[in-house]
Amino acid sequence: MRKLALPEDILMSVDKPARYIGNEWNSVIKDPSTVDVRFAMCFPDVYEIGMSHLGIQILYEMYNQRPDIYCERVYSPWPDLSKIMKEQQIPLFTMETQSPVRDMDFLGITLQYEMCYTNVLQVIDLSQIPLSAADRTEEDPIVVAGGPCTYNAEPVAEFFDMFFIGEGEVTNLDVMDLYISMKKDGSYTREGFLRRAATIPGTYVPSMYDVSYNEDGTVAAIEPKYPEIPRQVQRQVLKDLDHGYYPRKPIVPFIKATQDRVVLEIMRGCIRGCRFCQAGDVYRPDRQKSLETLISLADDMLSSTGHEEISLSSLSSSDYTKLPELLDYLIDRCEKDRINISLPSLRIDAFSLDVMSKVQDVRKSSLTFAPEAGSQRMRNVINKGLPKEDILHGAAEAFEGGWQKVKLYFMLGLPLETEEDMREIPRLANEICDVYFEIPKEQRNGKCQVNISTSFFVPKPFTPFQWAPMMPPEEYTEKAKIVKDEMHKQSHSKCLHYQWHHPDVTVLEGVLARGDRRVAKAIRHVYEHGGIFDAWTEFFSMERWMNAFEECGISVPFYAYRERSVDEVLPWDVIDMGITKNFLKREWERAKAGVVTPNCAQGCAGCGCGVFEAGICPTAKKS
Amino acid sequence: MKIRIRFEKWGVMQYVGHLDMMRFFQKAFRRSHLPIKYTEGFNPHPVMSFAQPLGLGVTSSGEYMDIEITEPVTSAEALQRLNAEMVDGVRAASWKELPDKTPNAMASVAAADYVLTWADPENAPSEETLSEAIRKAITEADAICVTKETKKGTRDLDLKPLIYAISAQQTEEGPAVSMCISASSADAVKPQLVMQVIFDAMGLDPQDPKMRMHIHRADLYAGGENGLKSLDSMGKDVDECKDPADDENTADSRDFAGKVVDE
Repeated sequence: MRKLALPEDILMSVDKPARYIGNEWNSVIKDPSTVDVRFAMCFPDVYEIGMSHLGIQILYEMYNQRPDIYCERVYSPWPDLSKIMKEQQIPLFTMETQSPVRDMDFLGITLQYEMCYTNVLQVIDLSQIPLSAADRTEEDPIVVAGGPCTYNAEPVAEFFDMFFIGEGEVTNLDVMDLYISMKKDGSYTREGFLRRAATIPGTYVPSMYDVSYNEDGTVAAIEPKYPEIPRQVQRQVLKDLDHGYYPRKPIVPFIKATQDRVVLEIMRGCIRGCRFCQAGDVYRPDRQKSLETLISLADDMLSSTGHEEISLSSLSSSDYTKLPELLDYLIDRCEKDRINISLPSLRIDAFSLDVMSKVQDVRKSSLTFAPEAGSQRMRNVINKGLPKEDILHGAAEAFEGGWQKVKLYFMLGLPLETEEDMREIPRLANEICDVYFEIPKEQRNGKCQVNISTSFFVPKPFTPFQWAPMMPPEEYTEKAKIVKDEMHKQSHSKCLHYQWHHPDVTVLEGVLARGDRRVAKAIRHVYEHGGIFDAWTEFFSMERWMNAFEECGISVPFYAYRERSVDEVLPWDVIDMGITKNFLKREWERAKAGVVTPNCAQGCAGCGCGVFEAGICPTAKKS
Repeated sequence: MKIRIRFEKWGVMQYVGHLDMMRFFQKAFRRSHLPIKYTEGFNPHPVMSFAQPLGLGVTSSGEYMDIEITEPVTSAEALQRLNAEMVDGVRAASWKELPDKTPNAMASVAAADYVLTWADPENAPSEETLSEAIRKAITEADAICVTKETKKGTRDLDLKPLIYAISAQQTEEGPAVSMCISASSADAVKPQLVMQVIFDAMGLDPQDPKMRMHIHRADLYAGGENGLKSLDSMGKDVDECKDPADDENTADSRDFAGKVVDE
């Protein structure tokens, strides 16, 4: 029988002990003594969230296909266990072999959202590894991160030995091979390895760069320390998704994970080019898997997991070229095997409504539209080319199909937004209700319900809005109040409901998303004063963050509220995203002019990602 | 066709709760491609009924679930296919066809066998001390009045008629207390409640960390005219290609359970 890292009395005293036992179906068991590299792969949040992440499962598959590498998983212990482990000095452990993380060669942490940064420190600290990379010894694992937040990893740069920039399938194994060869020929030292790793494409070693600052606090320069270190680290892009790694036997957790289903990644990237959307920029270019690959993957994953549901994953599933063929196959196969199909991120039109009516209970389900902005003017500013007619037309078809619940997603606090733009949000919702009441009474299917949801916009690196200013929390709340006020004036106000998120986290995300290396001090301060699980409302404390900023001399207005000049050196300039600064500047100007840019399928806008020679843009013109 | 599956749960799987075990079996059934009957509607799931939830931290060699199948399959084949989908710590021990009118497992549970051992056997009282405490406080007592915590508050209860058999033994895990107690929906008793009476008689505090116990459920029983019958005994193995090892694993061959039926 496997021995667990935690004794019975501790397991029985914490919430959901199954989070910590491993042993799941399809988890990989190897004899650690037979491998050259032990890699602990961590999602720095609770098990149920972390287990739902596709990227980790892909890399888990990639590493474990190698007989000389053993990749195991690690998650953040929930605060109840975290406290016990800290008090009793129990080292953080891996799921599979329940081994201390500090005994691994690598600790890899995925950075999916800024609010996980205190959990990153929790994981490193509970592993009993020094928080600062500079304090680590030859015995400590190499601590590395990947994921979208590494595109501006500067606020957490101090805590990592290196970052994998871009898609891990491309060069991560080269880094492992370097490690193995240096260990084998005896030339390995931490410093020596990092210096050589920094020359492998896609590997950013922050300690190999000096950052200097201007008197006004902005970055003056980011300089490589040695001649062989590249000035910029190029994001790695997998050219051919059909031949990439993919978990045909995904792990099946015992406790219900957020994604308790087969996840079929149909494509990467997005052709749309919405100006607020970081994912739409940093996963370019649009690359699709072939129908044959997807069918084979779906079959294998359904039989190897026994999941009762399959979900398509992509930024915009409607843009997948062979969607009708894929859905025909899935609907047929899933009906036979009584498997549900979940279809997120579909544009509402006749085709998608027809498909959805086949796979869900129309009476119970609600339809989601994401106009993102209420006015056409604002939708042009953000390059969300969704005309009002399309939304109303889609709604009409939905109502005729029997749906009566509609969800609408919007953003508030977008750059260049006016009060009129905000007031257009409930007006659009009201027009959707009008469409409902145009249906003859006897054909209506109960009451119509339109739920408006707004989130506050956070400008992100490598988007045309990366220079845009944010505003203090009170101003965001004001905006939400305007929407609410306008909603009550609508003729169908009884059918409208409005939800918005608290703006505190928004501002904080803003500071962390566009911060530089100096912000690390505040993150550490928050952690040292008890801050973990900041992504969870019940544990988040704005006061703790504000105190930390004050103590550490971090100015929120400087990082969040300031409009940056397009000539400013940005902390993330050390990364070469493929998408060029010239393109982003051009898009920022076009946004200001309210001009829409055609999407990648309509014509190349010259974003710069043509250099990857992949997917939709092998013939792309130069930026 | 109704099928009753007996399964065992041990090791790290004691930390996987009842609802998660149900989900685990749902997925295992799908992987096994056994001809299980499913519910209708937009969220079909296997028709599955568990005899009784097993508490977190409790291991068991006698858990039961009833399912329905749409075409016959031999017990040997079904067990082989199902066990190919199990993780370390769960094993299906029997697959038996139930006569049509058998009440479902949940409705028929009347009693349960438990074996309680000390997490650290070093701290356990001797078998003699335990036997003496059991004799004084339970076997020879006219009534055992305890206060039972319920969802609505507390309730005074006489345990005596709800304890069908109890004894102390020396086992591989050290001194142990075995008990067969009521598990019916009306009068279910937790083994901890009985243990509390024994601790009181020994003048020991069950809350003392040294006294922490491990609970193992050995079997579940249905009531009837001839005494208690293991839930496993109500069905028949399907066809003649029966694995002789199955018999050894059924509760009827266990000494302790056998005694209960004889009484």
